[in-house]
Amino acid sequence: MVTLEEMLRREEFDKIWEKYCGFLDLTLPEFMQIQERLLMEQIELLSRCELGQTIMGEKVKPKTIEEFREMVPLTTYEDYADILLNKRVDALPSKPMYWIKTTWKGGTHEIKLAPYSDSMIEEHTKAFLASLILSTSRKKGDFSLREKDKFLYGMAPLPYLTGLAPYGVRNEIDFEYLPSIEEAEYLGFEERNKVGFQLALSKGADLFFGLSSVLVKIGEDFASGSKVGGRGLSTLKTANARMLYKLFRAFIKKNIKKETILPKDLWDFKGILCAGTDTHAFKEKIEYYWGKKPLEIYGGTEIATVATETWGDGGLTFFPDVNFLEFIPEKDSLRSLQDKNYVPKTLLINEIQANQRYEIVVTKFRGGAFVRYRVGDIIECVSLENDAYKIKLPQVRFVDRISNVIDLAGFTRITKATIDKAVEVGKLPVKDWVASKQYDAKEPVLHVYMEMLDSDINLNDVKNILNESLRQSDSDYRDIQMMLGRDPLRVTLLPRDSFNNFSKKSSNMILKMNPSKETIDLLQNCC
Amino acid sequence: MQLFSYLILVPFVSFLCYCCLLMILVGSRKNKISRYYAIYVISMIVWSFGSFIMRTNFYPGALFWNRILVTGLIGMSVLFYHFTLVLTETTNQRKKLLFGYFSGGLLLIANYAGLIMKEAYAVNSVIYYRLGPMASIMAVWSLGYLILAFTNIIDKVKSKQIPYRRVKYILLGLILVIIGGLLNLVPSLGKYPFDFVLNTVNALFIAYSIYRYRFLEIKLIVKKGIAYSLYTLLLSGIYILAIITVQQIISQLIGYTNMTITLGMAVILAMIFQPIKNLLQAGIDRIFYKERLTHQEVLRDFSRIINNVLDLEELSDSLLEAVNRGLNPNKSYLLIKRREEEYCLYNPSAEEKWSKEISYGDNHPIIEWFKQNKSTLTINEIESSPYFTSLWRMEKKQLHRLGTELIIPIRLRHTIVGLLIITEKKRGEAYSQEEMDLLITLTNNAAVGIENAKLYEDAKYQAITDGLTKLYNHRHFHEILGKFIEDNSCKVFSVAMIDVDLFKLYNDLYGHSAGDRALAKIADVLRQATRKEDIIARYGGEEFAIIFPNIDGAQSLKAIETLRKAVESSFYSSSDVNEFLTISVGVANYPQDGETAEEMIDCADSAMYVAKHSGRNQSVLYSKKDEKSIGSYGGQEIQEMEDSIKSAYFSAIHALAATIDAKDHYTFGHSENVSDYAVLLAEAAGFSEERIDIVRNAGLLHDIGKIGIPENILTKAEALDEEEFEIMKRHVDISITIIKHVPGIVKVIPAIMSHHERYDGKGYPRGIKGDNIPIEGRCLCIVDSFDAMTTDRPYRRALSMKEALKEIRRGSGTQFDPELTEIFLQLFEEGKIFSEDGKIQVA
Repeated sequence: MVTLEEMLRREEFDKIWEKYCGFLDLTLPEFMQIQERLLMEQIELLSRCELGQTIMGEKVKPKTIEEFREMVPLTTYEDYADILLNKRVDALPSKPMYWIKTTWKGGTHEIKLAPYSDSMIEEHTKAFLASLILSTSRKKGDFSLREKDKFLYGMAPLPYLTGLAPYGVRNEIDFEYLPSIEEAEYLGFEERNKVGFQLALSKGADLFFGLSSVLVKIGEDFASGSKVGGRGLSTLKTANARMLYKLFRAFIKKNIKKETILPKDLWDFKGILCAGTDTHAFKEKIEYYWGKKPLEIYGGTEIATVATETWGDGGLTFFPDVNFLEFIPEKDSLRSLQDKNYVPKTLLINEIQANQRYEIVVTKFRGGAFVRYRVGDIIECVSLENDAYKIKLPQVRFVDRISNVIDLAGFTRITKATIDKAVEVGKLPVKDWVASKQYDAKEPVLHVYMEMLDSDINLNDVKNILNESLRQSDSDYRDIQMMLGRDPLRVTLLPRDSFNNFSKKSSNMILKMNPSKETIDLLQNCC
Repeated sequence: MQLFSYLILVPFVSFLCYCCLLMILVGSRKNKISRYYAIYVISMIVWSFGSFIMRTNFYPGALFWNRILVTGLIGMSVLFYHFTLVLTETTNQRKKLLFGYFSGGLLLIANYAGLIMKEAYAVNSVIYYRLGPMASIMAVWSLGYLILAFTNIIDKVKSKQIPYRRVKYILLGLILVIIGGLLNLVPSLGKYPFDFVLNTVNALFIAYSIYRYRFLEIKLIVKKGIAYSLYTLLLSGIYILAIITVQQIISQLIGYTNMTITLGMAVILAMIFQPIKNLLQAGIDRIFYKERLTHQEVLRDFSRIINNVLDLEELSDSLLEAVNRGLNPNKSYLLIKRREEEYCLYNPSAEEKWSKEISYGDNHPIIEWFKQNKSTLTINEIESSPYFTSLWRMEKKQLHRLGTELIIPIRLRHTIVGLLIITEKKRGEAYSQEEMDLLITLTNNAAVGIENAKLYEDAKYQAITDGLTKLYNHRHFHEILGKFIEDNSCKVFSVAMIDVDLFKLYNDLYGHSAGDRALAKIADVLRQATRKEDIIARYGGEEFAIIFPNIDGAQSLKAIETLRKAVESSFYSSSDVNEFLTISVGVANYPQDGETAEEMIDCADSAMYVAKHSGRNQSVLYSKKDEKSIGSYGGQEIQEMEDSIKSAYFSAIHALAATIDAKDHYTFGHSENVSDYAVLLAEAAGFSEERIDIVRNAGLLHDIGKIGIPENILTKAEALDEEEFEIMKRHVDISITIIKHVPGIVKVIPAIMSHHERYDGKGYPRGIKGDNIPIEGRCLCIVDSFDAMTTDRPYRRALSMKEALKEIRRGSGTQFDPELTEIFLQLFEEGKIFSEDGKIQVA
């Protein structure tokens, strides 16, 4: 098979576009056709293995999408934990090449594992490259990605999903990673980003893939003047001519013109690829600091790369060949969180409506393990097509995790258990609480509303204790403060008997995590 | 000045050649390789132009044009080196390349500063020159870069990154260029344009490589006009050179020449040149049109074959051969549309012609692609187009395993009758447009032939195949068996006769379409349980016959026992309660049991009847003794045997009835009543003895399935709710599950299974209506309801006889068979139901 690198050398740009980004030209019926055929392939693979028989039932082999939705139940990670966490390769639909890991907040185990077969890696790589090509493009067919581009790779290495892409990509194209993949494996998250940007100061950088919040933080550091010039002379020694010129210009700007220098003064990125829950909230800032709007991709450990943004703010487009996609309307999703016996009905991509929110359900293609899997993410269908860019497929936006999980800037996922533990660790005399994710000056924050047993306790004390307890019990939460320098916690103390009064006034049950705005308002005014 | 001096002509022809080459390159699709090649050709144009015009002493003089020549020369070596780097996708020699351009720039400055060529002038087209101090440096430098280009290609060939055959002409051309360059270092030879001749040959070699191996992936169509222009130019050049040379020789020999002598020479040379011209023309034809000639032959031969052949195997073979002759691929494959909208691999030379290694449905993406009137599909398109992302991994692997390079549809009007899959060419070249055209013409011609051959094959197939089971039919079985015996191809073989037990009952119970499905399923089971070489046929209604080549004796018994078990586990022992079918199999061996087809079939038949008479679901190996014993049974003995079997069945029925009693005494009393009423009604309705027996036993056993119903539902004092009633309904199925395992009483199944069916179709379990309900079932339905009404139930008191009869009358035509209802009511009116002591008159 011809690689991307070979095609670039032959300057077959049209062919490259067709191969990687051609899915943007599909019509919805064509998209569905691909989905149906690949689903049938997956059912065939599942029907031959223990995992498939466990999930679908013995001798159950749906022949149509309708049968599949009728006969196969919706699943969560608990359904797979026994086989996957014990790495039972013999029970899987295909042989895994990598076991990708993630934390399992609120789960029965510390981690979740997802198997990736060679063909899944191939698809994942193709999807990742498509996003990368799109990130360097301004319009259809016009992109500037080239071999040997300098790639500032700010994501976690293997065994996390973000670390998988370079291993697949290296069979397709040779990039100069900053730092090298091998070196990156031995560096922590913060260190890797630091080393990467140091190298970028001397070598320049063409591509970036990382958390949007990290880019904003670096931008802010530049703006505040806390970081420029890296290791000073040593950077200059190793810098290439282009970067020397840029550094010189930055020096003049900062020291002679006395102007603020921003990352865009030093780097001229061809493409910025961002992931993370709150990317949409950081986009404008990234463009301001870095001079280029980031391209958002949506994916996850169990589901790989699911959708990518194209140009502008039209929304993300789903890849047709990575997962079979189903959608649970948000109200049904919420109902199922409250009523465990309620089985919500799903919609297909050709059935979703614009301006509606849905919980996403995926079945992994190409021998993946997950079947009708509830990922726990909410998306919103922004429009059914993108007229401006002639994309005839639904455009979506990643909204958030489902309401019982609060994801902050892609760093941590806070559940009811996390806050309960923090309250316990901090020995706070709390009668009851609710927590909600809110945006403060476009920054995602965790807002906890607490009714204390002891009314004399001071708000600042409560906040400090809770903050410290969260830092102790959740290392990812600690990273937000350490790496981004942000205070993501807000605390409001509710008047005495707020919860009791609420129960009297309202027949609705209170959701501990992300209750509605009306619930919070009522709680605050229930005294 | 001699304008036609070969010293001018050679660079001039060379100049023209390069110009033609540039025209072709400019007119074809651009990419990186073609661009660098074009730049190299421009340097050669500069060189050849400078050379020929220098020799004409054209203004401003030979020295100026010589420097132009040197400009081309300097550019040529480094540009050629760059071209080879691009061609071989070498990226690690950047520094050498940059140095080349930098030093080349310095040499150009030196050239125009007079450091390379101090002086140059032309006398009679011969150039005389004086070299500058940098000349030798430039020569070494040029040679160095040409050698670098050469070693670069050799390295790539050695590391197998490029196949040798693809670059052999480029390497050869390069050697010629290096030789040309070296000759220039020898002043006595350097004044002759050897280097031009060799460089021109090099340019032609490269052009040929591009054309042949599609280095540039351009649709390089060398037009006939361009090819003949080159040929005419070459020939004219040689002709004029020859005239000049001969003229000079004559002039030297006789001291003068005149127009007459020149003309005479021209005529003689023209006569000599005619065969040379023919030879050259043939050479050009061979280079550019050889394939076309072969194509014409291939097409002619293939057209001749398809007009005379109606056999799919022969036709497919001819098509593949024509493709192989015309295109020389490593391999080619055919996918032909078979029955049921399925495209399968067809290999005419294999024993098993049809293979499911690749099998595409009618809506497969590749088939759909061609339905959109597309004429070709390459493997690269399959890899790149989002349209083909829906291909299964396995499907892509299959295509790669075959080495697929190109797929062409075999299209008949708007229908795709097949696909032709072509691999890479043996010599690794890309397919040219002419070859694509040939393929399309071949497949278009083949389409009608294949369709006709397929229809013919279908007709042949249908003539020997049973439509329902897709097994051979009776006639073909006899043909094969006759052939086996006639040809004596197998020294030993066995013939098995198979009869499906109680098939009539099955048909009565589930209807004929279910019976057909069961026969098709049995055929599948037989197919799977036999070897590839065994011949299976549907012999008659529910009879099958099999020939087992090369086995006899115990082996044949083992073979039929395998079949019997396979059918048993698929039906009788399956979890499906409705499946009670089994087979009785008899087998006879050739030659000990019979020497003719008829004898063999008779013997196998006899063995099969022994199996039938021994209680069915058995495998029996033919023996003369058994046949004798069957034949020797008298009527009385058979009767005794049947009575004894019957008695055994009765015991079984009563044992089962006792089981119901153990569970619920009420049900037992009810069953006996139902049995007695049913017999009275059956007799009055004129049922045969056998049917009366069936209703008697069915009456006793009709509620046997209640054994499986939970006690709380069975004895519930209140009326059953919907869910409980659903559970209660299952007693019918449970009854069948129990009874189907008791040999001899399975005949009661239709009656039991249908005793809750209503005449208007609103009953259960199947909701059948009217006469579709077996008559025994309709009979049981009336008497069962009557007895239920007239006896106390846990949840209600019994109705009076009068009220019950009124209810029965009310249900006539809706719940009950109207005719049987009438007879039943009449029995009451005539007082034929109860004896004087008030008990049911037991028949």
